[in-house]
Amino acid sequence: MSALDIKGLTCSYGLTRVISDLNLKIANGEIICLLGKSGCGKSTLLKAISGLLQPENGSITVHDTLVSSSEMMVSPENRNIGMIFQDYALFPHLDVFHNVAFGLKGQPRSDIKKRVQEMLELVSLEGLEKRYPHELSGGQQQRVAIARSLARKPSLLLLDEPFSNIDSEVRQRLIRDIRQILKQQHVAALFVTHSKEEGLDFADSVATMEQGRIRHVTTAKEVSSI
Amino acid sequence: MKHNLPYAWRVGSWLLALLLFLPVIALIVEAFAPSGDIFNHLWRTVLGNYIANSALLVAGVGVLGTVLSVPAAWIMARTDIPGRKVLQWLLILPLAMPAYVIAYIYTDLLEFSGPIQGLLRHVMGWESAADYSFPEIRSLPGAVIVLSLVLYPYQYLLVRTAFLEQSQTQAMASRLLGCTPLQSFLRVAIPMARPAIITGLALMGMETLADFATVSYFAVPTMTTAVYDTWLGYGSLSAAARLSALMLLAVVLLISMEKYSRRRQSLFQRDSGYDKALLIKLSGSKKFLALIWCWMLVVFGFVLPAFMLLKYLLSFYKVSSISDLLVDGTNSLIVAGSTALAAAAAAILFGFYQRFQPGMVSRIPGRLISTGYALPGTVLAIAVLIPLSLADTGINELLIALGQKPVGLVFSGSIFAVVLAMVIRFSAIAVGSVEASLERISPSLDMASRTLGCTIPGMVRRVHLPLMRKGILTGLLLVFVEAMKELPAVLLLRPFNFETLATSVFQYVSDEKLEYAAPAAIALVVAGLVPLIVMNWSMDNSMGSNSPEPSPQQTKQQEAGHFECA
Repeated sequence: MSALDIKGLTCSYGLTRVISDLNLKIANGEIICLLGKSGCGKSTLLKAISGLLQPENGSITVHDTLVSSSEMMVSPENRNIGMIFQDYALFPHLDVFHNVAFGLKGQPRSDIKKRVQEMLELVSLEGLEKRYPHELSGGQQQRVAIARSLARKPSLLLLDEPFSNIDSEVRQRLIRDIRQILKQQHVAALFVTHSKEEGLDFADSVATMEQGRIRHVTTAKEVSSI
Repeated sequence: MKHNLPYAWRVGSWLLALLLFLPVIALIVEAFAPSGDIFNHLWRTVLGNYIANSALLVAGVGVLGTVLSVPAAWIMARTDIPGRKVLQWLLILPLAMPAYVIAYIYTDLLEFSGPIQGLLRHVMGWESAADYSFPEIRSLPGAVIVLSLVLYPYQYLLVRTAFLEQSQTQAMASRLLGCTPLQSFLRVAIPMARPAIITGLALMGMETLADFATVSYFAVPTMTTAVYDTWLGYGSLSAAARLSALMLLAVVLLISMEKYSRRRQSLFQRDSGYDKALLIKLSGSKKFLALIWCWMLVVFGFVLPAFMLLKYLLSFYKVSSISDLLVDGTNSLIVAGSTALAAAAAAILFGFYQRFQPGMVSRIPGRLISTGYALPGTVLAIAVLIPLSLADTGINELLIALGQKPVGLVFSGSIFAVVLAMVIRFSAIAVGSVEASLERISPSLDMASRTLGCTIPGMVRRVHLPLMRKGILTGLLLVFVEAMKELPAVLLLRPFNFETLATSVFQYVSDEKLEYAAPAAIALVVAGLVPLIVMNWSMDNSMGSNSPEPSPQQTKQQEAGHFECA
């Protein structure tokens, strides 16, 4: 069983074809990095996977459930896919606790509280529940975003250039920490970046993307030897 | 860069600012002066009722205006509704409609002898008013509906901008965290737009508080009509000043609310790219509902009244007096033209003072007269009357003492008073526009021209003024249009038998024969469309390109925001 299986995916913005006939497979618990220059279709691919964008053609299967094909499309809120954004996308009107709890609706309050605490411990932000996003550093904000996504136990996590706004001194540690968290939670992840170094540090394998297609998939070790 | 500005320039700026601010000070002083029995009489009898009506009106318009505008703003900012480009513009058109014109038209349509009730009687077989009940439009709720229909665009513009500025990733994040589009709207978009919503509430509240014509026509007594009656009816300036000071208090309250909400706004704004592909795709009943909602606002706020005005024009053009229209139109042009020129001149004076002597002190004159924008027309009229009638009395007494013939009311009884009041009220627009265009001129140009041997006046003439032309023209145009439309201040201050387009249309409305004044009313609506076109142009610029034109941009804020006040 694979965490993600994309077959023959094609996406266009108006008349411009951004992704053409793309195939990609991610195994359970695997972290794959998608490496490519800006404008090669990386972000579009993430939007198509998460359901924010309707593909023209092809199918997307997440944990053996078909979520998108030419006939049907499951709406984003029903896919259970987590996403981490370049600008973190924290809700500025909610404090850390309520940001992390945002996706945990319809559960008893005590369960929500427990889950949020677990998550904050996981990303080492205990004690900052009452802070608002603007009172946190970039790295802390990114940790909140991770906690918020993982709280819902997503079947797949998408990361869109998550470290590009973080200072280089903090970045190394954050990359290591988050990789460790994902491995510990056994969450499969697709990580998009234009930085080869980040990809090598974070992912198990690296796929190079060019003009809307995957060109090359290698394990991280192989790439570093190139 | 600091320049040695001619001394006269600095003194001139301060003197002009104080002159323009003097009426407000006079109003407050006068309000504390003993006023005789009239105010006490009002206080004991009807004033409570007036205050309650004003408060209910402001609250009612706040609620209804928000309920109408926020969903429309969200639909425009976040969905792929058909005709979005045109609709987002059509939705601001009601701003061009004078509320009293709409009030008249809906009364005409909905009253007992009107077509709606006539049709109902015909279809249902009712004979007289006793057979059925029909809500009375000439009432407080009626005024709430009419004012909401023309004021909602303020709230719509502000909230739509807020929704557009909200990072789309936050909306995406909320969807991925399990929200349906509706839940995302309620839990993320609305709370994040809260500062804009509160600003919109304050604006609609200020406009509602200032409204004179609609409540007067609907015979709903409010603070505004009380000021008007106290002065024109009882002739008591001090009682009118006290009532005005009470209104001033309410305005200060509304402005503080707006300031308070803006205090936290910076936290809420984080701009990122706008991706059309992420617009919510509407289909089926949702698309239908969204279309109905937006078109309902456009039709009832603009299309239907405009259609009725054209109908009046076609059926009654023979009896409408063209010569009256020309006289009134000329008066409007004179008053509005002088106001625009004076306001622009003041704005330029203050603008350069601020540029060449940067610092806290030089900012004050411009800020000071920008407060005028917040004053309701009636309050301002009373404020202007106080120093002007003092000046008139002084001049005449002096002339008599010198053995000359008195000259009469040269200030308070002439169009000088009208123009002064409107300069105070609308300078803020010109100041905003001029400041924005000055800010765009790089300080290095100043240094370049000075090192090339320009004097300050030479530099202003050869470098700054040519570069500021567009901003100055925009300011002139917008002040001109606002002055054309101004009603209550003109009604209170105009010389005997002096009519502008606005007062004439209002007179016809009061006399229940707007049909005869259709050409003048249409002229007012067309004039009101001008700032909207400027605004729309600036909105297009600010959305698409990387280098928006700040002068109309500022204009948008002015028009939608009246922000610069206070």
